Amino acid sequence: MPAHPGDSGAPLDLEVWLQAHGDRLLRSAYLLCGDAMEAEDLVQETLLQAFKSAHRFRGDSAVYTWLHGILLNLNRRHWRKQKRLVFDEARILRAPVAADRVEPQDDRDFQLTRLAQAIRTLSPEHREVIVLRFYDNLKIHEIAARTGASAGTIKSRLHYALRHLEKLIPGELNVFAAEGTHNQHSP
Amino acid sequence: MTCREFREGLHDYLDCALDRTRQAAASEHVTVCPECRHALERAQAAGRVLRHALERTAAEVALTPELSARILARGRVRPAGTASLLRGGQWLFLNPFRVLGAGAIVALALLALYVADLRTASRLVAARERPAFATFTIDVPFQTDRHAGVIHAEFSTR
Ligand SMILES: [Zn+2]
Repeated sequence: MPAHPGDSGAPLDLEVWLQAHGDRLLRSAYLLCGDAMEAEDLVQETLLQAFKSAHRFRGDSAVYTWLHGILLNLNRRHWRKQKRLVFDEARILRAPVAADRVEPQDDRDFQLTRLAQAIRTLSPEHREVIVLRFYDNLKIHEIAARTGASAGTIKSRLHYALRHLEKLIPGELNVFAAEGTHNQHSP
Repeated sequence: MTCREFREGLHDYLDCALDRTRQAAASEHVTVCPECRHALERAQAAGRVLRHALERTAAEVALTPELSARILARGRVRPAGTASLLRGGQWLFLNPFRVLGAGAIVALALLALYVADLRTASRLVAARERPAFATFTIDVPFQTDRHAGVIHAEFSTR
């Protein structure tokens, strides 16, 4: 009789998913939508939708991948509803990138803050590809699979997203290039 | 491999997603072409900076016990509660507009009942004694995890 986990009264899977993936999903959602409260709602909706459609999970991908796919869909549905915000290139390039959210501690901190804010001003599609590529560390074909776009489209979005960021904060994407090391985390 | 081919395949090269021959050709190309080597280094540097910035931003949020508890509570089959006047109780969450919509439906239903009642009443009361118009207010309380309040509706009839 139980159609999905939880019907039996023991929502074990939901709890397991939450413990295992909740935090990562929340952070990913926050990067995608740019708002902490919205991110919480997205994660909640993601897990509950997954919970309701658990019978459709075939186990041919990792649970996180499946949950993350649901999250991406919900986020995309959300931004389509909010299409009243038109992200034309000109507007983005004119948008000021103010560093007023976090008190910068040093130059690098300041630059990272500016970069984080510049990412927030990207269009949803461009922000999505940046987050998937550089936060979730997905390969081009993986991003294509998760978003349902072609690899060519993903490369093109990535190209334009990086170009936007470079225009918004000239030189800053290159800020660590001179170091030529992988140890960019140390001060 | 030409410079153009290298640049076009740069992301795939970074992903090690080119076929073996082209992956090798690209590796060979950057050893002999300073411009493409520079493009590769720039792309790698941009990736490092972006990863760092995104990690830092992501660390601004974390799963709280409150959020976990809320999600788990929603996942359980709930007994009757404030939001469960609609089947499953799940229809209402997240979206205050749905709550407003639900309130509006209830309000309209009540209004229909009221109007039907008024007509019945008006048949019983002489026309001259009927008030020119009547006002009618409906307050529909609602509550979700985030939003609580009262939907207030006011109607006038002639
Ligand atoms: Zn070259």
